[in-house]
Amino acid sequence: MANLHEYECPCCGGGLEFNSAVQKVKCPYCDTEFELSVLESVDADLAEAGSDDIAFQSTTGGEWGEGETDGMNVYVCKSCGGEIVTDSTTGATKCPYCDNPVVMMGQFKGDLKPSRIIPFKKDKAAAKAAYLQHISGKKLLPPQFRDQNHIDEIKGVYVPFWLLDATADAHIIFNGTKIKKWSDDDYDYEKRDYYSITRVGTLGFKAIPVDSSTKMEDDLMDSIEPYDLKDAVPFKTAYLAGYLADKYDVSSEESLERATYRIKNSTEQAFRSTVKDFDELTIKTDTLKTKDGKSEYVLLPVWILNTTYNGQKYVFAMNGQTGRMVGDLPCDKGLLTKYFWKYALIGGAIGGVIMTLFQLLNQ
Amino acid sequence: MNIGAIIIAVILIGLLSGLIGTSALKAELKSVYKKTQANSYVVNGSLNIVKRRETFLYSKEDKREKPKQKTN
Repeated sequence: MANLHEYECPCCGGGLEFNSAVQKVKCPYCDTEFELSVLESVDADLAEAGSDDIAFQSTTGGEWGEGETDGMNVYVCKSCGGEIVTDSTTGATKCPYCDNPVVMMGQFKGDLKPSRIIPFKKDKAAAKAAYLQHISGKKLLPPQFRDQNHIDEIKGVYVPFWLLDATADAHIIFNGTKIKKWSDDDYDYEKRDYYSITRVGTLGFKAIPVDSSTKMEDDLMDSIEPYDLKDAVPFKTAYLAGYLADKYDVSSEESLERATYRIKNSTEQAFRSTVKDFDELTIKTDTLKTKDGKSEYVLLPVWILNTTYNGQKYVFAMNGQTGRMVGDLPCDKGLLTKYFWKYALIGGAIGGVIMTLFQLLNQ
Repeated sequence: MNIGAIIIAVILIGLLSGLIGTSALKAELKSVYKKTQANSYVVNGSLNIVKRRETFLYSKEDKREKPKQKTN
């Protein structure tokens, strides 16, 4: 059970949580606040530890059959003795019996230790407020959906990300056309000059974030960018207290594929901006290599809100640093039809008036 | 323009207005998109073009006769 850690309040024994408002660890029971440095001794132990076998952390004994625990870990809560079952990537959670926050230390040892973390700046109330703001003013949103009771769950999660640095080394050939038009009394003329344009060069990229958890939708995580890394601090497990956290299950090499797609598009755009005075420009061939690749493992704060409507699950995400809220909303088909005909009648009426006036003026 | 043509035009304008209006309202409901570019993460001043070449290939010229105005 050495891998499971609870930050207990030295005053009352309650489970400590990181408080985003005061940026300190705070006891929710007796309101005592602690500097993170007080809890640094625990992290010092982590730093000394080597890599761990991450496939299976600990079990409660012989109760589980062979293969039964594949893909999950079982811990025992130090506060109440309850059994905490998690999947293999969970790094921090709460005991389902006593609700005490617990950190699975083994998930952040050795190579699995993130180098930096951006602590939560927005709290749960801010996430709820942002959600309500997000759904307000949407004319096609089903009225029932606005009911606050539809929020099933709000959870603060430290999501693992790779920050990728790379230099794009590109060789791009464009097809370019210069068009000249002129006329005389009888004819319109058009002259097209065709060119082959070559650009070879490099473009540097720094800290492209790619989420490294298969639990998180990539598009959802893309949509809450950007994060300001000025707030990133060296990783300490104490920051995880009171939140959920996962360790990565997508390697930096796998993440590079997604980052390369974005690098390629941006490189094409940057190279294209160096080609002037052409009326038409298309890419003929594009060869791109990445070099000086470097990755950094970090944890970034995300508030996740789940809701269910008409049997379908809707997931919303809020950047825990900037407060940017995203999430697709359902469309009420009845309202869609109503607004279609409303706009059609207004548009048709205005069009009819204009055409009638035009007709009268021309008579 | 006869009355029939005006009615058809008004119906088309109305349907188009309905389509554009509801498309805009539907777009408000979508906020999750895949990021396709990394422009925010480009290192300032790192664009270094080491080879620039523009090669003329060929020209093509077209001429079109202007429509003549009918005279009675």
